[in-house]
Amino acid sequence: MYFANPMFFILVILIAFVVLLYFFRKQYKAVINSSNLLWYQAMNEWKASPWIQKLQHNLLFWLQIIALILLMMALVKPIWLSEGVKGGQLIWIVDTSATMSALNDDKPLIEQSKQQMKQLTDRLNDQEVTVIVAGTKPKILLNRESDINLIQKTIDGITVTYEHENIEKSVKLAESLVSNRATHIHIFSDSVKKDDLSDRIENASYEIHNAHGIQDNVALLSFGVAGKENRISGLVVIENQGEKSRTVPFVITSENQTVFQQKVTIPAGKRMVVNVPDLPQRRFYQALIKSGDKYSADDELTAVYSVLKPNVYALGEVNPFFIKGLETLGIKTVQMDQNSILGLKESGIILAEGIPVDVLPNMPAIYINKKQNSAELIELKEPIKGTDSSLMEYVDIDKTYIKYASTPITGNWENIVDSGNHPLIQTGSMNGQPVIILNFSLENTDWPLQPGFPIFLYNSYQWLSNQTGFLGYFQPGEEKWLQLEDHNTSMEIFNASGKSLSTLKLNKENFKAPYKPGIYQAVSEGQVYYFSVLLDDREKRPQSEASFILNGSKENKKDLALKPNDSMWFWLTCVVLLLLMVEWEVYRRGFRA
Amino acid sequence: MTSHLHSLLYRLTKLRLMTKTRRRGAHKGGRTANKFGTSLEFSDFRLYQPGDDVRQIDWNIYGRTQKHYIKRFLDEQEIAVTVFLDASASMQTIDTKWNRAKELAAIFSYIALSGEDRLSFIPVSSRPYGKVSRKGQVYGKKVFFDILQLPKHEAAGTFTENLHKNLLKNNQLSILITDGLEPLDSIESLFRIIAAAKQEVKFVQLLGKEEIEPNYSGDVKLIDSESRETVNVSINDSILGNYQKQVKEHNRKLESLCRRFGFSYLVTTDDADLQSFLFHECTAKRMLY
Repeated sequence: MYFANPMFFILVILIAFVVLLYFFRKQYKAVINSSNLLWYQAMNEWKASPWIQKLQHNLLFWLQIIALILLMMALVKPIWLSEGVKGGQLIWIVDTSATMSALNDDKPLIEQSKQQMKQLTDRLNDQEVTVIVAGTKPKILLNRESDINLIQKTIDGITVTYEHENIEKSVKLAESLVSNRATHIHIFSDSVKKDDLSDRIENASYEIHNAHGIQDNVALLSFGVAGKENRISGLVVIENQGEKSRTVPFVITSENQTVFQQKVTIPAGKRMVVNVPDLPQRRFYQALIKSGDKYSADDELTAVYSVLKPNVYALGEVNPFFIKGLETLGIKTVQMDQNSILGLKESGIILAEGIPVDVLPNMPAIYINKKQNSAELIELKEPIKGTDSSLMEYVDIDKTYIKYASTPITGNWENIVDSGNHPLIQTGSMNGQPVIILNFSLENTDWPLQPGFPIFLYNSYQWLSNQTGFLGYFQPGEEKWLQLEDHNTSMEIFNASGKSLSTLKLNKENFKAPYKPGIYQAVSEGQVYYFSVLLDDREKRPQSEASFILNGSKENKKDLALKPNDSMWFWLTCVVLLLLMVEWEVYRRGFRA
Repeated sequence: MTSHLHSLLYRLTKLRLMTKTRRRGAHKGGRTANKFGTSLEFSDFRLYQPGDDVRQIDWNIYGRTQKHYIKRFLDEQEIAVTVFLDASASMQTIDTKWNRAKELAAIFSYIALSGEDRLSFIPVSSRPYGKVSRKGQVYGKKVFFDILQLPKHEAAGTFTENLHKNLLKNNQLSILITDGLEPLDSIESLFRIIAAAKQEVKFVQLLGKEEIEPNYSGDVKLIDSESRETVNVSINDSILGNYQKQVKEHNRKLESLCRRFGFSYLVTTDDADLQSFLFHECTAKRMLY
């Protein structure tokens, strides 16, 4: 003997419930009353509202009749058929590219796809569903899942990832999952063409659901800024992909300030290059077209102005060893005077010696704290010790001889090299710019003779130019191992409006760019880095294609598989149980026909 | 015996049971009758006819008219009064109620005896016990105290079931002392039987205080003292209100039933003042005078 539905042994809890009810039933205190005649009447009056009164006479009878009819209905086990989904195994490939964020009737196309998937889910008949997100690298979200709730939850969790869809690779992946059961591959996208599925396999049928939306798009194709002849100029390419000539306002903003705006008229199907001749110097610029079209992901582009190999500007009486050292490293060094440095438009690194610290221009700097007065010089007697900093890598500072050191400048600095209590090399930031301070002058040392000196100069140059903090351009969701000076720190990523998006431990996980295009800030150890997430160029040309079916049998799309529903008996039995409880209560209260 | 009781009994001797019926019993009593007899109440004169008692000739009239007239007086006769006391379990459950019921029965019996009426006192129960049948003022106090001493008695059945077994013939006045807590149908059929006996009926309904204002609380299982049936009640304000409404409704129906049969209807409770009931309500309702 075995039990066909041992699951229903859980109904034992019903018995436990009844026993509990029995234990907690009302305990009536027995009282001898002279006559219950009026109490009967009072109780009946209380229980019987007018419309129940009619039923009350034969209440038990009716309840039993209903219970019996329902039991009979449950036993005949009604089954009816509803529309199901074809195929023994279903593979859904979901396009989450940027174009799926385009609006159609105020809803993104991805919602349209999700809606279709949910409709399919409702009609599932114990079929296994595999969900693949067609990103740059296809990702399997669900593998042969038949739990409807889980499928629904997964569908709810799908969002636009702004990557370029890789339908071909996803279909390949899907085909590799095809088992010998009849497999139906559904592709939810916006622009899949028949040619994209040229080498399809025979034992699966394909159904492509292309969402419609984008008609007249104006796209910002590219945007760049460059410094040239002391001026910063920008170049923007705008394309009108619609069939009508459009005039769109074009704006460049930076740090919430509009720095350039112009109305641009673009003929249908044409590109236009907008030259922005003169821009104020900023870290980054945002180009924006207010096209008002349905696809807004391509209306915004960011460009970062950065000098990859900044010049070094020497200020004051800089020891010629520095200049020579830098020149051997191939770094251009320019001697400037105090006044001309203020008019400088390009960014660079300042190397200053013999000037007061508060006249340093607002740039990354190496500052040599040189004191003329011998009273402020301190003779060093204790050995020189360097910390394990990236500046001191391969420098071997402890072999250097330094006779006198200057008194340090007050401020919040980090000591890199010291001798006893005297800091020799310090780093920190001044007016938001990184600064390296040397508390001794080269005349008092033999350092330029050491091989560590040019290495230190190189390290300093790299460190200062890195502190300008541009991490680079990323694809949406791109992962990359980031090499920052201190690996044990965590990094927090903020979007342009200052909202914290995520925090990651750099020594444990890869840096992963956010999905939404735009400019972002990454903050690590008080340092601010910038990076930009760019839309894939292919995503700037949204297309619409019609839905179609491949390899499908000749049957009409409407002619779907039928799905039997036989859960009715369960609910009927539940109602019967409920009725039994009501009957019990009615009997207990003593209504009898 | 307290002086209080003495004064009560003294006041009671001055009361009489009022009847509207002119029917009288066979024996001499204290009530004027339609018949001619030997009381001091003058009735009329009538011409003498042979066979009449010569002693009744009014010689003063003969002196004036030279004709023989007989002077006639009204007779004074008794009536037969039966006091039925409901001795069913419902009356005995509450002590104060049972005591008050016995007091009322004793008082009415005492009044009947002191009015020279023939008294039958019958505790209505499944088995006969404690019946009293007396006439004459001399028995007044004895009967009064006998009734007060009436013991509690295991009784089966209801008042209406048992009463008709005890109905007497040649009875002019019946006093029913009961709580009337029975279905109106059975009370009505009892009334029909009593009314058929052509007698005057005074219906005294005695309710316990806790029957009008129950002092139960919480969940109680009420056990009927007579039928032993139970009803589970979770006492709350709405049920109490309902119950009191039912009591009022029941009493109202009982009163209209009495009026239909021409019975007097009096209602009292076990905590009401006995003297004011006797000397005010009973006289106002024309039961005593």
